[in-house]
Amino acid sequence: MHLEAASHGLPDDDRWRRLTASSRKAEVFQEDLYFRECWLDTQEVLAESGDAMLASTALLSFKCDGVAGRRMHRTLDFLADHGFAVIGVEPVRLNRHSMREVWRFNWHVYPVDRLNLMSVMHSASDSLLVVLRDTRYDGTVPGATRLADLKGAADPAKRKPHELRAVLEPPNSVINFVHVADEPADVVRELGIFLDRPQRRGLLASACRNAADDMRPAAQAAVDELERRYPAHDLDLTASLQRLSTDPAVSTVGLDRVTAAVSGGLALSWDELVSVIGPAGAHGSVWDFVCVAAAVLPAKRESLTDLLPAVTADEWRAAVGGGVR
Amino acid sequence: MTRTPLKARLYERETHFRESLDEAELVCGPAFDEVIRRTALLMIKPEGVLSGKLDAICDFLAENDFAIVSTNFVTFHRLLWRELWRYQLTSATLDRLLVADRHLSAGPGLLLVLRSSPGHELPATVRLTSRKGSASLAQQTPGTLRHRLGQANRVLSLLHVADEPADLIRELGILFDRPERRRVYRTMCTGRPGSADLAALAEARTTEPRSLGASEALERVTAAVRERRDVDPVVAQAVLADLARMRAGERIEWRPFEEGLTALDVAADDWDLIVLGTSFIVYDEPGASKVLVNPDPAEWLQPSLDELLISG
Repeated sequence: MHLEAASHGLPDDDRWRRLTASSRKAEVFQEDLYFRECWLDTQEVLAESGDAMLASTALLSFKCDGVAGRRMHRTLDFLADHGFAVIGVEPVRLNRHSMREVWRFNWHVYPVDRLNLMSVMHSASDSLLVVLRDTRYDGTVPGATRLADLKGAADPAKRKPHELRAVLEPPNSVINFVHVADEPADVVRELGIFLDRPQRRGLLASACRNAADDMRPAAQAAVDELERRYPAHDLDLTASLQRLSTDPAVSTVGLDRVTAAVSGGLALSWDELVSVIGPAGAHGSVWDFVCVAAAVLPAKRESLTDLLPAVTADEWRAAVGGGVR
Repeated sequence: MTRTPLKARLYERETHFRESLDEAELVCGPAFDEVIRRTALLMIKPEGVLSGKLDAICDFLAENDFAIVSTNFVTFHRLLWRELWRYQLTSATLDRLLVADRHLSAGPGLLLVLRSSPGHELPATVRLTSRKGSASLAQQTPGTLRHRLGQANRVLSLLHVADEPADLIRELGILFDRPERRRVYRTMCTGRPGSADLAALAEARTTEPRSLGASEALERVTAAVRERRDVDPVVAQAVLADLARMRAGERIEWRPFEEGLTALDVAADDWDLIVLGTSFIVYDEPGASKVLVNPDPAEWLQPSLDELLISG
């Protein structure tokens, strides 16, 4: 009897339909340790309110460039203006392993040099995880998916002016300040990655208690504290090159080569770049290095696509009555 | 690098594997094939370091033509070990993961990078895998390393090895950041340990060996529970009932047992709880399977598809 009791159930078909509109994602997440572990936490901690809460919950994490680039207050304002109430705030810091896990289904498209840059960018500082309740939840499109749609495309050409990424004015296609979980299934999985068991159970319990409140002041205070600890950076490529040029330890010949690559749209390798302006933070700010690296490192490996493409609000509406696609 | 087509498909899109392969090719240059073929990786897990198995392992390695060229203490944080055993843990119960959080964070592991002489029929990783023996006690054969060491249960398996050259590369990518990985690859090329490597070995030898016997652990934890006074009798009874089941050799649900100990504020030794957890939980989800299993070394005695194409 105890043998059977020790195995903990995964979501049934009905639950999977509430967690994701992608049958491929359901298949992959059934074997995902972070999803499985955090799914049990949501069942135990949220109990009978779990389904309703996951449907209306969104999860946003600030990237380190959001801290240095001072886009956090603007993001909190955007969230409030669009009907997302803060119900949980937790300090986080990504490391080499957790960042590769969060973006496991996306980063296989990055060349190794770009992965080196990601390691630098995403572990540059502490940051913040914000749990949100969609006060405009319509019973069909989950809060996480409505926010993911509002975030806008990574490709600047596809962004609409009202979308978060357009409002935040990213300087290039590498720096974009925030990450959001696409669907309830991703909310579960990502909480399991970002936080260890006691932390995530504590956050789930407090989010459940605070579901009727707005913890925006707590989020604003946490942002103020991060901004007090980490200096601001303009994330401006020209200004970064200018600052590097005034560092006597940076070779003029080397920097001329880097500047020529930037102006000519040419690629440099990680090792070439590091030999002139690296390692990151050795000359000027880490963010000076990042701005230049984002301009010259090859962005993608050819002919590869996301392993789990983002699911849109329209797909959720289409899936209603039609089952998991 | 592997004779398992699924492994090749999975690893080629992995960040850790691709980053480590890039580094290996850069550092080893034209010697890449030979260096990777002659190198093996053995991780002495925290319980192996704690129970004083290093000397016996070193003897076995020397007898089997494996020289130690690099050593590192490894701290297993939760993301690191989940990534390392990603393709095997798909069969694990959540109880096994919870116990592993306690087990693998209880002390450092010791990674040994090994070099084999040239001329062996199998790559060093595969040769070591074939001599390591099964983690399952029932399947261990005399002469294998695990049989010689003696282990408390299937989970406290004392050591881990990279199965094939592809695993060697992937695991170095997971275990080390770029600068340390580069240092390890350089050491693999020279084949000579540095002073830091030798110091880590000497430090590991100073560990006072500890027994990992389940019956002693059961006695101590039971005594610690009985010592608690003025506690909820229902919780205490439930915990003692679980301990009685363990004494009878039955499996228990770990979560309620651990929550009971916490509620009673029992001051149990961490390794005693690790021994109980790894001995008496249900290890595998019914019907679940591993994505990748240990390859059969015999596969490596057959020509690879590439070799067949070239010779044909």
